[in-house]
Amino acid sequence: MKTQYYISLMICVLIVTKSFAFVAGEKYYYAYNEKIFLNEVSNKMIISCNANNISNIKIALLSNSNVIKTEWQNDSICIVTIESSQYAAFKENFIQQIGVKSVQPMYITVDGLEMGITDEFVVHFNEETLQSKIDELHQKYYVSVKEVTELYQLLSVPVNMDALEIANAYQESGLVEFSHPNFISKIELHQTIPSDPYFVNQFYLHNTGQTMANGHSGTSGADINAPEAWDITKGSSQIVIAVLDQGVTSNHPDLPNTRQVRLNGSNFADGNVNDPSPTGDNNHGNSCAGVIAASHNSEGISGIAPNCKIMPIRIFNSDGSGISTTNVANAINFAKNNGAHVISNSWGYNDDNPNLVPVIKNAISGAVTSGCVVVFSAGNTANHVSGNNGYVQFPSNVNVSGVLTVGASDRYDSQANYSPTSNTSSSNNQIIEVVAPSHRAYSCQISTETFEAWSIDIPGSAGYNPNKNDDCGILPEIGEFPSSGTNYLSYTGYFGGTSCSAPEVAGVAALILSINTNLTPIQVANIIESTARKAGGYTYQNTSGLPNGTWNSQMGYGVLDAYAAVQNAVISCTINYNNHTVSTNTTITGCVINTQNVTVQTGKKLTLDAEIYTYIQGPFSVPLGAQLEVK
Amino acid sequence: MKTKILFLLTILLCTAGCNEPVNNNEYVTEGYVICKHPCLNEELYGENNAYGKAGGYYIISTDLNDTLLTFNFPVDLFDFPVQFFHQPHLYRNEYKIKVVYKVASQEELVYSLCNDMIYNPFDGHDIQIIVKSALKIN
Repeated sequence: MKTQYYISLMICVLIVTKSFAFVAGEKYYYAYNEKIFLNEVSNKMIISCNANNISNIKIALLSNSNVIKTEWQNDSICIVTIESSQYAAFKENFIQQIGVKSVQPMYITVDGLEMGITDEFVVHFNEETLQSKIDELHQKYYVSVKEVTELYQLLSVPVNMDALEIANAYQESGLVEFSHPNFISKIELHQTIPSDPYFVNQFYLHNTGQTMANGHSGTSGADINAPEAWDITKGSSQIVIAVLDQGVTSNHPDLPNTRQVRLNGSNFADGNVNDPSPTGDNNHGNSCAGVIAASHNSEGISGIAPNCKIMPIRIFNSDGSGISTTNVANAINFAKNNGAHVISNSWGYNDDNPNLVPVIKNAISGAVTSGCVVVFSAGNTANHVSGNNGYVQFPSNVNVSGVLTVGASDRYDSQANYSPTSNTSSSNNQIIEVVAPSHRAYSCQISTETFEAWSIDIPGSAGYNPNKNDDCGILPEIGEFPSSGTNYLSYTGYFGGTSCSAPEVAGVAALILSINTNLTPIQVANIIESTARKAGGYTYQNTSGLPNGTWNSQMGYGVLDAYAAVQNAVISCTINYNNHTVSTNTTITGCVINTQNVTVQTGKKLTLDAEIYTYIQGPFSVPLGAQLEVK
Repeated sequence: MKTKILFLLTILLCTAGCNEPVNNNEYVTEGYVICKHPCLNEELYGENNAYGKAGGYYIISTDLNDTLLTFNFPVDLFDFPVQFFHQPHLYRNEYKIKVVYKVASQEELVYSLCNDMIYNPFDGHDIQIIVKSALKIN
């Protein structure tokens, strides 16, 4: 992992800062020649970032999210809110040292309108102004020209300079018609929206209330906040998610073999023991794997962890029947022994006994103990419109700490009609931990509903597409995806159930582990549970035995929130190493290391070993004879 | 994948008792074949048995006291239409039978693995049986 080091940048910042001086006074900008007076907002600053450094700055800001709030305006501008008392120190000691392009105050007009200013301002020169005068002005204030149109020139000021002051100086030069900061006018969260063409149908990842291929639309925000999470991470290729299911297609256009860990011995069902590919129309494993990890490649759909890898393991026979219970246990063990970090399971048995098959329970327990995050779907056992609350099936209800039991919500942020409701009074561990969006109901439950989650399909006529499926009724035709070309029929819009919800959680677990590989399965589960969205208007309450926040019997801790979970993962591995004198050789490890006020004694060595980023802030002393290593 | 639906069963509770013991281990009951096991892709399950092709099916007794699950149902007994596998509730009282059966022992229980795309309201408390003989009743 790249580690950045900013001492030289600090020096540059100080040099540039000393080059200019403005007289302090009232703040205003010019609307033509009229002064519009401004006050500084005491607790907000606006930072502007270079594109090549954006991810690291986001992680740096996240590592301080206990004291600041961030609002990204686009892919380079962020409003940072912090307690007024900490404003100056935070700006001086942190913000200016993490490689930002500029830091500007937030202003407010007498009318109460907040005016965000960055390092940019816009001017329109008078027609009679000579080019030599323009060049002279640009050189005087070290501005650079970013864009020239018929209407304006967009200029940017040097690092740490005040765009407002320089814009006013241009206005007062008499050479311009207008000159004012390039105000931030619209506040919206920055999101990484993939270019995959069927992403618009993946309401479970990003729901804006859009109309999907089947004509349905949901509630804006009823999703897992995937694009927001992708702004921080799309996962690491070192993280492997085992999908125990019906197999995964070799070299699927959205999941090439370079992104799969296809192992000899990974087929525990019929057929070639070394080939975990699906057979017949059995696309369920593909559908699960696609939700977790489909590539962001302008093709098909988008996966939650598009840089992580899938380990397909087949546990269903060609006729769709399951393998023996001992072989299921062997398959779990296989995943554990071959390096899977996460095991995604969208299957179960129709029984609520948490000890139904001891050999499977023991295999799950062994996997968790050895560090695998184990995720299970709760089953589709309810029919709430008929008053049937269903039950949480085995093995999702095993009493093994760290196993995540996943129910389903729908496109409206409500409990899906088939998703079982928890029963805290049951002795059979009838507890849903979280829900994740999937289809709303089966057509035999609510006639206008059916499968509507999108994922990958076996290319060609096998699989779920073209439509030959049923969900307890005949599925409506929604088209063929795509209807022609090399990847003909490689995608499906007929996926759903808690089968879709569990891989969403598995994908987010993979993102979390991509940030911090040292987290235990229980810690990953705690993050996912404690960051879930309290959605749907349900009453979430503190509940005995469920310590990770408020909980509801229908929705568990809430709807999976990838963004909040990934943020929490960054915080979980941020090490603050401050106010130390290093008198023995010392190594500090973490995914992000913030360090300040440290002296390394002569003859001693300090090693800062950060997986993602190291921030060194002054005072920091490494005298001759002492060593500092930043990995 | 074919998914099977059995929602009528969700309102029917199985009692512990079984009908008409014919000897120490075997019982006889009349009822209806209401659907195949929702988690089985195919109408068949495992190898053929002495009665022909075997399948995983649910039988509900005429008096609604028992819901019986068997994985060795002699499927050749009826000529089920394709629609029966998709919308079994339309055929609720169509396939009447009389079966002699024994309750499956712990060793004989079949745990059918379900993928969780399937709507599966059965609660696992249904009695799993081994069909000894079956007779179609008109």
